Amino acid sequence: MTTPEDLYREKFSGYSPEPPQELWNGIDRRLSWRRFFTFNPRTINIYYAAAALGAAAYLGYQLPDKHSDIPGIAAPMEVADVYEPINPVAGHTPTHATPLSGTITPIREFHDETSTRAEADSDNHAHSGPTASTSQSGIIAEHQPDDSANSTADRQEPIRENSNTRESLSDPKKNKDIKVRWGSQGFAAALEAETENGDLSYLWDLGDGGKAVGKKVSHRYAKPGDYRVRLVAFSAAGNFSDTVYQDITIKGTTYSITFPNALVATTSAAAFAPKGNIQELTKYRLTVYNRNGMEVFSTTDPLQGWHGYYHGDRVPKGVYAYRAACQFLNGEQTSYSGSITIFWEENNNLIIHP
Amino acid sequence: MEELELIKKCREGNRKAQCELYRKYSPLLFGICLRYSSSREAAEDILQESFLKIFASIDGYEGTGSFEGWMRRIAVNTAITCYHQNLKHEHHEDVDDYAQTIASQEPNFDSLEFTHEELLGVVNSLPDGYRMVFNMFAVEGFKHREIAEMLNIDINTSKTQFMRARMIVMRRLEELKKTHGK
Repeated sequence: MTTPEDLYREKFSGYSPEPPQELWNGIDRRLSWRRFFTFNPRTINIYYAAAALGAAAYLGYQLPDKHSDIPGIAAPMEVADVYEPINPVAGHTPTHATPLSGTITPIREFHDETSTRAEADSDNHAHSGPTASTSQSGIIAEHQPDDSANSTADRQEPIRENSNTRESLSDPKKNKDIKVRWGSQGFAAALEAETENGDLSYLWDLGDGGKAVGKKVSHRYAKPGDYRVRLVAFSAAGNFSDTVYQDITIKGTTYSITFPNALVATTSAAAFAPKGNIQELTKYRLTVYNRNGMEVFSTTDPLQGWHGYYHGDRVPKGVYAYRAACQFLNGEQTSYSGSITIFWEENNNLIIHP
Repeated sequence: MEELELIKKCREGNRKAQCELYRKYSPLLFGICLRYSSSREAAEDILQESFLKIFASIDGYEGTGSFEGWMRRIAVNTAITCYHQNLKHEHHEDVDDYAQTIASQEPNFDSLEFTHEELLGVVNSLPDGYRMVFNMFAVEGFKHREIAEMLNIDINTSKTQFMRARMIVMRRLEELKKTHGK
């Protein structure tokens, strides 16, 4: 006798009807996300790379300015931005003397007295503290006087390719050699990783505490000295990593200009104008004020001097204040301020009192 | 691919291995799902949910018992979950079934008399609660105590429902026999 339960047990033991074909598609689709997050040794490197990039971003690395094609120079601060008249008079336009010579023109190349680089000694780094953040490149101006237009043409800082210390984790067969090209101008340095492999990510330790991300970075150092830059390059897949060390030298600046402290108000004698490294000035603005704070002279040409005249007349004898905002070829910005005493010359005598 | 290798790759999220596991075991599990559901569409839903559970919890398979048995149990549990979810929607019993089954004689059936489809048709037509208990007791071999725990019902309810389900099944099988005889 076969009971219903026996009948069903016997009949459905191993009963295997074929399910619809499209059922797997639904399961497959719903499993796709689960697969993505499933631990898999073959894909875990991608997660490591993503985590490294995320951590780098979190720790404050900054992406370099990809639009810059000027190596090594920080975006200059506009002179007009840093310079404000002490007491500007509304509607007043100072009288300018005729420029002696020269113009200010934008350039895309930079010159430096430091045409050679001392070999860096790895034990002799100048480790200064953390400095300004990664700088941006920009256009600055070059002073090109008419009579000495080529005086700075042979002083351009060369971009160097140096042999460097290397700690490689890579498979030498993969042919992913990485070199560091660098150049410096004043306090600014530009660095670029050179490799045939275009799929790498780059982390820079700039030697002074500064960090940067990207194949091409620029940085402004606070102090001159030798720095050891460390570049870590790695592939997104995590199967390649390379660390390159590069010693660089930051020479800083030695530029300075001076102003006279006295002037005879006459068009025939020397004018009130800066002396010193005026050929290296890329931005310049000089303004002179009288004792009431009124602007009596202003120029952006370092070769244009003040003869002690205002609106065609000699200014009164006495003490005048001046302020000059300057930027040099290496990107350094300085301002000078002081006073100048104006004399009158009458009958071959210098007169200071009325 | 060996079963252990297949399981290992499924744990790693290997799509090919998951597909192969599905191809290998989906007919068997579909047979179970068909018995526990009232329609083929419902059985397909249960099968899909079962495989998602299998792939999600395949790490929990310790490899000690039969992998096939482990998957069967997941399919049954999924059917039970589905039953609980649908409990409030389909809860009706045909009173006529009881009156006629009480007088039935002790049956004697030959398994060759019925096709799988006919037997499925009978069990699918049972009220949900009866079908669950009948399948679990008659085919899967669970004890009433286990069924009561799994379905969250009283043990006597399980026994009663099984007896009533059995009577209904017997009566409908006899009707089928008469149809065949004609």
